[in-house]
Amino acid sequence: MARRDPIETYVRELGDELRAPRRARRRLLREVRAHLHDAVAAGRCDSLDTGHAAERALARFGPADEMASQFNRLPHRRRVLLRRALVPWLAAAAVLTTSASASVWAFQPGSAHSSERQSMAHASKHHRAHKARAK
Amino acid sequence: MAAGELQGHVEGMLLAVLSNGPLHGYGVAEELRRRSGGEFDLAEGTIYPALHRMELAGLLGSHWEVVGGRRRRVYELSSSGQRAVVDRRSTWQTFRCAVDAVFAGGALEAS
Repeated sequence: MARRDPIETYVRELGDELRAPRRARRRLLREVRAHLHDAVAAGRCDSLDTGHAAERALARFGPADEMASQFNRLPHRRRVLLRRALVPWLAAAAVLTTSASASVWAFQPGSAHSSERQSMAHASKHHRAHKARAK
Repeated sequence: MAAGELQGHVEGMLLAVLSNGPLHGYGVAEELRRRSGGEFDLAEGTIYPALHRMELAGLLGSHWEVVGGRRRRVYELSSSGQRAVVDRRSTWQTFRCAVDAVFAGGALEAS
């Protein structure tokens, strides 16, 4: 029976652990496979046989579950891009809502602007009464 | 050096390695090992989540390239990545000076 390729076994194990959209998952697995093949080639250059070169490559790469758990904590690209696209619109909507409610609020009785107007009217009335008394 | 001691510095070091030009993941790991004289006991696989995270943050760009007959994802610094290298180098130097001073028993002048 032919021995399983340890690199492919590792890549499959990693693929099983990844929780990412299909495209992101496929990209990462391609990168990992290329990395491990490069590492095996480097091991062969250091006079290791293929088996030992693969063993060293995998030992240096680290356990699949550790890598998968780090990768699974990343926000997904689609979500990040969506957030990046939505933020300016949400900010603009927030500014518009705030300014609209501020204008409505300014014309309501009891608001700061309206109280200011009332107090100015009161002061002017008081001033007129004072002038009349002086006459 | 244990991986735990490297936590928090990995991204800065990856940016520094990429500041010399675009590289694929294996090239980044090799360059990191070469520059550190083999001191860093960092699982090479952990550089990929870091590279992907920095790409999502806009510090890196990447594209596929055929190198030596094999397709590889090549990473390069974006303009914000270049600024980030400068910032992180300066933060690291300040941190290193402070740690050196503590070990030497002296005191740094407060900035």
